[in-house]
Amino acid sequence: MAKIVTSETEELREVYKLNPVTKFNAVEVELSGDKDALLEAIKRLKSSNKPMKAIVVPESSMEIARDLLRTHAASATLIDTSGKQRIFVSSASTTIKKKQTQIN
Amino acid sequence: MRQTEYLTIEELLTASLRDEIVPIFYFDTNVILDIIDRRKESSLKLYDFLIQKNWNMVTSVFAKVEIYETKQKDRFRQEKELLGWTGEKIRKNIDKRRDLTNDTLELIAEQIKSNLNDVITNFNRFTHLDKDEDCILAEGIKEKTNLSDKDSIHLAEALAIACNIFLTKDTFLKKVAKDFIFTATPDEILNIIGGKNCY
Repeated sequence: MAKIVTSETEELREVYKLNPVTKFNAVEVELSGDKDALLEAIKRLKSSNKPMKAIVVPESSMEIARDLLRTHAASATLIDTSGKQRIFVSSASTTIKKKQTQIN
Repeated sequence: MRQTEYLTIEELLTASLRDEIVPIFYFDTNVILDIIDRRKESSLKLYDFLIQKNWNMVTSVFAKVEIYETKQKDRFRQEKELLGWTGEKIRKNIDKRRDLTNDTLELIAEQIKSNLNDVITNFNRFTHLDKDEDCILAEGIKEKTNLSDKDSIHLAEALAIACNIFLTKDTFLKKVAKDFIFTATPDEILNIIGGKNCY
């Protein structure tokens, strides 16, 4: 039986290609933009004991995700689906500052 | 969709060579100096290989500051050796009483810029260290390790970007960083990919 490849699966594959899960990286992908789903993803990240935590979201959800990370005192690198924008959010930070790294 | 977890640097590179992933390499200053001064073949070979594969290369703007520091020190050492200063006298003065003239500083800067710009165009982007978040991360690393301030900043930058491989030739940095990120020298990377006859 032929394997059905959905566009969502393709998108996920591309995201993980740019953000591989390793011994050191925990990666959560949340493409829906839903706040509750984002919160769940952040909780899963927080429970990971890996030194690098990353959450991949659509560009339109970057601000919401950053606010949620701050609210829940979680440290992680926020990455957009293209992998070009990378914003590190520190759980210890008190001011809103963003870090953007273009990965072309 | 269940994700493969790459547990070793060999697994990560093998998947990269199969085009399953596109890794991000963080370059420590000593490796960049190898490239701009063309002083170490393995660093140059790896740099060319990464360009050819279109894999991501990043570093910090702090690397640039360190390159200036290194070149100014080299120049100071050369000038004072010509004047007959002893090694000890040079060491005593090199950090605190450097007296390079404005013309010399300009000359060094011009040389760095011309050499560095060619290399840096192939990097994805210099990250910026004027961000509180990065400094907080660097502070956290400094708090927990015996790394120098400079090395803490480099490691913090690599972690903030969520890089996959940290390239350095510094033995102590490598030893500490391996608890946070896959860490290797250019030679080690070439040995792994060379074993797979890829370059």
